[in-house]
Amino acid sequence: MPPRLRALRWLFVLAILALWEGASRCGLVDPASLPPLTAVARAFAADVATGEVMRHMGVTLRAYAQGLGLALAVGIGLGVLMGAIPACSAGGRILLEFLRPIPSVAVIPIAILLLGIEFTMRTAVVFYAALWPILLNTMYGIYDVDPAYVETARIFGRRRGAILRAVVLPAALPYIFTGARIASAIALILAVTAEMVAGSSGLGFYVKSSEMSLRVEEMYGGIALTGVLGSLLNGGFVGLERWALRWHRGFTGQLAKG
Amino acid sequence: MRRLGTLAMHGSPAGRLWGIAFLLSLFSAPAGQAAQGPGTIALRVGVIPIDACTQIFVAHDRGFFESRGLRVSLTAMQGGPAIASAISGGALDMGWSNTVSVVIAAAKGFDFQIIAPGALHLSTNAPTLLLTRADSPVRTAKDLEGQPVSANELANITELAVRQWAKRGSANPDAIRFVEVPFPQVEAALKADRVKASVTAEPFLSAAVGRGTARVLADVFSAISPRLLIASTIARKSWVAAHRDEARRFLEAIVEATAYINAHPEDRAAILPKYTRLTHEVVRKITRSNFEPVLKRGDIQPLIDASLENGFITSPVSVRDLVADTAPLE
Repeated sequence: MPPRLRALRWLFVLAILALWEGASRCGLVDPASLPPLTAVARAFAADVATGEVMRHMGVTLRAYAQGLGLALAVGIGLGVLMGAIPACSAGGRILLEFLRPIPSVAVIPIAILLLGIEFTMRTAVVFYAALWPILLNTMYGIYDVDPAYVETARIFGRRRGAILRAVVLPAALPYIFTGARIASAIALILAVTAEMVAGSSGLGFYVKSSEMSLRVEEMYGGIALTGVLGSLLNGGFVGLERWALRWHRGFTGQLAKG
Repeated sequence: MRRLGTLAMHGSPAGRLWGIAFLLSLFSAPAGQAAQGPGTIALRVGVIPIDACTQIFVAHDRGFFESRGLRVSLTAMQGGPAIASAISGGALDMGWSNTVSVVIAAAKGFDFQIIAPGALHLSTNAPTLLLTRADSPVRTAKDLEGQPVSANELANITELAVRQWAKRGSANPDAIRFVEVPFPQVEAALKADRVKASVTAEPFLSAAVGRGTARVLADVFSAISPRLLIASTIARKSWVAAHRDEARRFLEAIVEATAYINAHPEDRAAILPKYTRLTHEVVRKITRSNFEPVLKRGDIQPLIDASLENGFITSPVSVRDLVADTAPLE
């Protein structure tokens, strides 16, 4: 992105924040519903100073990382199986098409019944939600590998395992990364949502309990932090993807676009 | 693809160890779970971080559970349904629930039972009221026919109270358009005229009235009865049968906490901010919940009657079945 555009982007963020402050200060929106940015920052900073916010953020990130980590392991594994072996694909897809459309938030009550209310439940819900984009993208990534690559490798006498490792997986990697990035956003959403419904810690709990205690400023602080966290995590994945796929981008000439 | 296993065999031995350590860490128990001491019984109790759960907070803070050999871990949840579901699944031993939920659950064959008294509605000191916008022309239940009115949860105690109040005011409760608005959003909903009246509880009640957004329209709970057991601690019948001693000890602790609360209102105000995110200033301003140490038939029966009358349940439920036999009932 050219520096001018980048500056414009930050200017836009500043304008939004100024609009927030101004609208609340001059009563354009009810300050009881949307307190001014400065009031939110002041109240939120107090909770940051006591370490409370960091503690809740740690809890949320833990459920996020656990769930997403498991989803990556299982999703990529199953995706490779379903993408490479027709029998697995046929069997798996029936289950997939049944389970995938269920909104992940709707499984929270079931998860509470089966797994309780603490980490296990939240991790399981995050895992469930994050699994589908990873699994599907891996599967389609493998479908989409140019047969010519595989044939070439076979002609050179490579075995199936080696072909998978050296040809198929790298070729599917752009798909897998896209799936992981989508899953990362979903994982954070589900981690926070699960905390809002059950459990006594995490950013979702912080937001909800602030709301229930008339602490509107802290509630907005928590919501804003969730947003910042989401965009930082996304940025992290973009960076990782750019690094891991630098060969791919170079090859296809997309490096400059980044 | 028989050699899939080789995928995992790649990388340096150190790298593999890190990978294994990472995987193990995913499954390790969360920190902060203390080992169980000798002679103590662990109880997992679900609460909502609000004033109505004060008895449990005070018993926890003052050591009334510990002195009875109970090691109580409190889990704050955001609502009754989540607590009930966690009790049902066995993730919690007991928890806080509103009484109408217990009545409806009992009529549907769930085996929840009340094991200790909770918050009481008293017409002389009601922390839950029906509000309308300060400048609203609405005066009576009749004015609300055909209008949107909010309860925090539909088909539950707040909607029941509004229905009963409408009946007492010779209005048709079925003509009222009930919508669900959580307590924290009531003030904004009234202000924007999205609803004509809303049931609200503290601390949002004092806030909305104090800021001049809303005025009190009616004490709708009193239309059911001037005294009501709004909420209490519940457990599964099968749990109570297997843990009669624990249920009794829990009740004793709640009874002691109730006496303490009623004798030390200032301490109560100081304890609440430790368990909720309510500030001291807010706690001092609000109408606080009422607590009595004994479960009374007369505080529960009107809720069953009103639930029947309004079709929330179709067959009667007996108070004796609702209350665990470990708890005395007057």
